[in-house]
Amino acid sequence: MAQQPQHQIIVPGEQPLYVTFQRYGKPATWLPLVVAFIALAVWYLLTRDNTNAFIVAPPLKVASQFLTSLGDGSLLANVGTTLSEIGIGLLFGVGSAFVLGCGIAKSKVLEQAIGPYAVGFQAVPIVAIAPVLIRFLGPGLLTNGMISAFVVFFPMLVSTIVGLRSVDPDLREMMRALKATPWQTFTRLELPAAMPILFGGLKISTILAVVGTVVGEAVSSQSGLGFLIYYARYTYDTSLVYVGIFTLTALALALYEIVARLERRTLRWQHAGH
Amino acid sequence: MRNSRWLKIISLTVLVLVISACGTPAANTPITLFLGYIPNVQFAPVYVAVERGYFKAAGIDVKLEHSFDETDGLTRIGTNQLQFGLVSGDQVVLARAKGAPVVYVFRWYQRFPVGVVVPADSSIVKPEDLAGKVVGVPAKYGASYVGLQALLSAVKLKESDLKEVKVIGFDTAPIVCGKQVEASVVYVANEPAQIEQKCFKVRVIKISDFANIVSNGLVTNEKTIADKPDLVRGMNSALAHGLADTIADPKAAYDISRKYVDKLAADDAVQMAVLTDSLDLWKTDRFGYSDPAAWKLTLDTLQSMGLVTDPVDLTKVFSNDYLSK
Repeated sequence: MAQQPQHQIIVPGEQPLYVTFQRYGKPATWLPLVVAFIALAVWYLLTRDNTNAFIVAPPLKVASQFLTSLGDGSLLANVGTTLSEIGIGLLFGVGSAFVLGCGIAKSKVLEQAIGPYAVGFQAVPIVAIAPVLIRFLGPGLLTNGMISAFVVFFPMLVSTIVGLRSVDPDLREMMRALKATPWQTFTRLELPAAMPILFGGLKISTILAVVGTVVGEAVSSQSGLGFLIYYARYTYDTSLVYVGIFTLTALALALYEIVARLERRTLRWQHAGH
Repeated sequence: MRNSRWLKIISLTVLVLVISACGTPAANTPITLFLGYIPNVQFAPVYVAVERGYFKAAGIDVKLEHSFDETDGLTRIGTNQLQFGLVSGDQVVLARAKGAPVVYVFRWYQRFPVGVVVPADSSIVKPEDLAGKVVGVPAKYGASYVGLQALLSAVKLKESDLKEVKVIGFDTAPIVCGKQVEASVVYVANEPAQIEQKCFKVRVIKISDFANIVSNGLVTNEKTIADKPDLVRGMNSALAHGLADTIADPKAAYDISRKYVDKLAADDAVQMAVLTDSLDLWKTDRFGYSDPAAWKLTLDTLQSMGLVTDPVDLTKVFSNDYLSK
């Protein structure tokens, strides 16, 4: 039987009290459904007279538009483009941030030399960077992936540095006593110890990759969910705008869940000791 | 006794206020005019109308709101959060098709301001030559793309006859200068001059020479027309005066624009050329008049592109009823 997550509440002078979600009948499952149902009902009631449908599309019209877009293949084609760009963004953004993060975590000189630029670069709005990248790389899948990588880079960089530096000094001392090589220390101690923080960064990066991709598609693209939303806005097709937004949200949630599951799987060893 | 004295003071105060209110002219109507682009010398007629008091003379205190997002502006006009905006005609048809109660009441651009730019030494000299070529567009929607479709249709070409329609974003000059495309759709008033300043001489195929489709004009909503028709006439009149003055004396209009457009002096030669080129797009015998045939062609183009699938009653899309006689 799967172990339930436990939250420890310590009351001074008393034994720790353990509370599990199971005690309340799995609210995590049905609460979001209740919220969704209430939101749908309110949405339906507010739009049932169909006035101002060009601003707020009724839910049934959105559902119908969703099925149409799914049926003619256009929605899946746009999802495919966006997913490809997110993949490129994560590959380059997470990869480069991890490598540089490892370097900075190990070297004060590197941190002093590059750190300020990394922070300053992050402060530049992505909508300002996107046209510059398009000018250099030309419009397309790769460019939008690079815009995504740009957004992903900083949170992953910070997570890598913090993760690698948060290793228990006593454990480092032990590795030194065991005469472990730097590579052994890295692979056997630092990397596993940093994993929870690295996964935290990866989860944030995954969501940000979606945002970055959409910005790129909005500036210059002819497919993808960002393009779909802008195209629908231009044609005042509010129901299609909603289809784009909901699909994008679902995509972001799905990607987040994949990373979260990967995290649980990878960090199973952490819970094994409990 | 004391109450009676207070009553007299209050009555006198009210009387003074009423008399003074009657003596002052009625307050002007405050209006925010949405402009679908950043401050630019192309808005000179508006700046002239403001500075020379044409809006005030029509009883309007106008405030200008520049924005990149034309769709947002037109949506706010449709919901009556805004009452007026200078918006492109294709947007009005698209919004109307989705039920937005917006009405185009003054045709500012009499000629569609979009064209196809090619290097001066290019083999492309007429629209038919675009067949088999790579043509850049800012996006596969918007006035530029609609204009390209209208041009191709006018010479019996289809998009599939081109080698590729490449989306290049809105920063066209570097892409054209880098010859990443063989031709590019541009705004004829400003972009050819900017490209020539950056790299090489260009030739422009103006879409308006082949297809009379509707471009930017003053848009309002049905509620404003129903409640305040004189306000609509006033806005039209002010714009017409601004246009007439700008065409009559572009140098003076340019100088007035300095107050609104930052760093105009740094780029005087190009920006003056932009204004001069724009004049040809605005000239007409009757300012503001919409040609019904132009609206028909605009709708036909949008329908052929699949952008309009819902029925559209063109008689509700535009009106010439509020123009000065």
